[in-house]
Amino acid sequence: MKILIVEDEQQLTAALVSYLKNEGYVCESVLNFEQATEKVHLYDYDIVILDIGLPDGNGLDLLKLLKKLRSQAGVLIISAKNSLDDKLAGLDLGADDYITKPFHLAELNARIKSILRRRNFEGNHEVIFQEIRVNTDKFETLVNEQLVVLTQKEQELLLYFISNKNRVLTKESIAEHLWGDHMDMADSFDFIYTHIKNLRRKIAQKGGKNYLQTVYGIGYKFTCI
Amino acid sequence: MKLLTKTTIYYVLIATLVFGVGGTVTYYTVLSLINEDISEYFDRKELNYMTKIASGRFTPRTHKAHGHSHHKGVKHDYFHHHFEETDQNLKLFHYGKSHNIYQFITPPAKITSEINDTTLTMGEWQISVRRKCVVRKVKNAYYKICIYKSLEEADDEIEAVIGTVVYLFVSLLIVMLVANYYLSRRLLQPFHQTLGAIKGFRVTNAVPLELQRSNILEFEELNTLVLDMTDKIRDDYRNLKEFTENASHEIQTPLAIIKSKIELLIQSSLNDEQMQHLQSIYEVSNRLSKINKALLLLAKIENQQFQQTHTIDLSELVTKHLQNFQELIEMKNICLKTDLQTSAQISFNPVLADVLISNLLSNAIRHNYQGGEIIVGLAHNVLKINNTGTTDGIKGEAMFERFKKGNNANNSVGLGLSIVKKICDTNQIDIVHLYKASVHEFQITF
Repeated sequence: MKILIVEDEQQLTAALVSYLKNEGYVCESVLNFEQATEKVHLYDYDIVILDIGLPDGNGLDLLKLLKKLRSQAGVLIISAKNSLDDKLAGLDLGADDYITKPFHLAELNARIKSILRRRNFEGNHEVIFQEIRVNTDKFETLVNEQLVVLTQKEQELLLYFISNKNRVLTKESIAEHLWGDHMDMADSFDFIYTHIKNLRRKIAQKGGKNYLQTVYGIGYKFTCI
Repeated sequence: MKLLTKTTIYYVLIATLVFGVGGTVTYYTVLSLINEDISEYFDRKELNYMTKIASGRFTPRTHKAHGHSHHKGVKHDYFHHHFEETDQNLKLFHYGKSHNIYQFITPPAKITSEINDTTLTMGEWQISVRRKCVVRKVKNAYYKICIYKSLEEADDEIEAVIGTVVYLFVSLLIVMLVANYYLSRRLLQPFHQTLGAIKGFRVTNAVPLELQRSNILEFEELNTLVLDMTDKIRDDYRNLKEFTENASHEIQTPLAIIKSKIELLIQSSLNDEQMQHLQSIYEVSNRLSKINKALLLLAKIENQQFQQTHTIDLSELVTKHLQNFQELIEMKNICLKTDLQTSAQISFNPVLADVLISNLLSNAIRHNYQGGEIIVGLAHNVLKINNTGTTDGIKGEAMFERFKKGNNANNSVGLGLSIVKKICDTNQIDIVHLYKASVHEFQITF
């Protein structure tokens, strides 16, 4: 999988590259509009991560260019502006998703995976991790081929964990993934705990292993032991 | 005190002074003129009588011979009867309607001349009379010539003068007051207009003040100054707002870098102590990011960046957000009662409507206690959110102040309600906060 990161902030790019490389992606990064134009003309990418505010141009114009080139790349817009207009304009022009700075790397990663799933034309809507299979299309989860009845939030949580497997996910990132911006309460951490407890129990009931590790004070990690 | 009242008082004082002095001068002038007239009259009569005595044209006439028949009338102005001299040395020589002439039997000790005023009662009238008695020697005989003159005419004249002065004063005063009132109102009209415009001035207003042009130099100057000043204020305010927004924007990227670097660090194998430090840094950077987002939202609302409106079904919106918060509500064992009667349609910006409802509901949950209660009522564009509350430290308007927090125990940023208030203010919506019997109520009238 090839990802092009168009972001003028080198430090942020470095962090993105570092995180995404661990996921097994091939990452290329450019710092401005001109370089980006060159890259998209020359190569094909699976995902383009696009910052709208570039020093020498508007990221939306690059999006238009991608569409003109009939690029198959999925586009994820990142913006410092939490502006509805930008968001709507971006999505109208054919972007796949929109994320506002500052964001969690795990969230970005989950979004990329989601875009890739949706772009997968073989109709493979399944996310598989060992004996766990999550069908994102039918909202079904199978453990050892047995159906596990999960609530919507539990399903989302499981998917988020699998998307970021072997990573430490902070409580803040989980809370924001599940409830968005508005849930800024300490209460929500108790919630995550409840959800995780239920998730563990439901998977264990169907003979699944406990992959969920608690990282004390920080959050959780979904990993093969 | 109003300027108009003040000027009127000064006008009245000046008018009183002018008329007081003017009236007094006029009175004394008229009085001296009348006195002069009377004394001239006396001189003329005296001379006339003396000539008549000398030429012997006066036939001696006494009261007795006359019989006083004319005194029996009700009204007369014959004064001679009222001034009969009792001196034995005098003998009535001649009398007339207004004179008595006596002849001295023996020559008088000295030549006298006296003038005095008396008030006579004649029937039902009171008449002021001036009497002048002089002793004159005519052809070796001494006569006392007494002449009487009614002062009624003079009194009338003085009365007329006083009357005229008073009448003039009163009518001038009335005319002046009325004219002053209307004129001042007319003249001060541009001033009041300017004053009204200043009163209505809001720094957040996009349009400049509109002031009526005036042909009065002072008012025109005032208007120019006011316009310059308000333009400058609005300009400064706009710059400040833009600065806030830009600064918030610029902060987002460094924050994103900090957060992502921490997330990367978390993945590496660190010891517990290092993890704890990292966790603290992560927590505060998240907090900073939330504050920044909230401030940015506030700045954007202030900068009127949420102009587009859509028709929004309020009950639908409230239901949607309640579902979002359902887990939280259940976790706190909060008893939720809803009464969303009418499906109220409002025209509103969708983002702001989301933020408004979400902030209010999360506020009601956050400041609630275990097993508390929330009542959400919606009827006729009035949304009421009641919740049992843990704190009553903050009341009324203070509730909406930035960074005002009831308690520091929870993680809240303290901007939620300021954002709510800002949204309400910029969209001309009434929001009221009430607190009684440990129940908070927010009432919003759309």
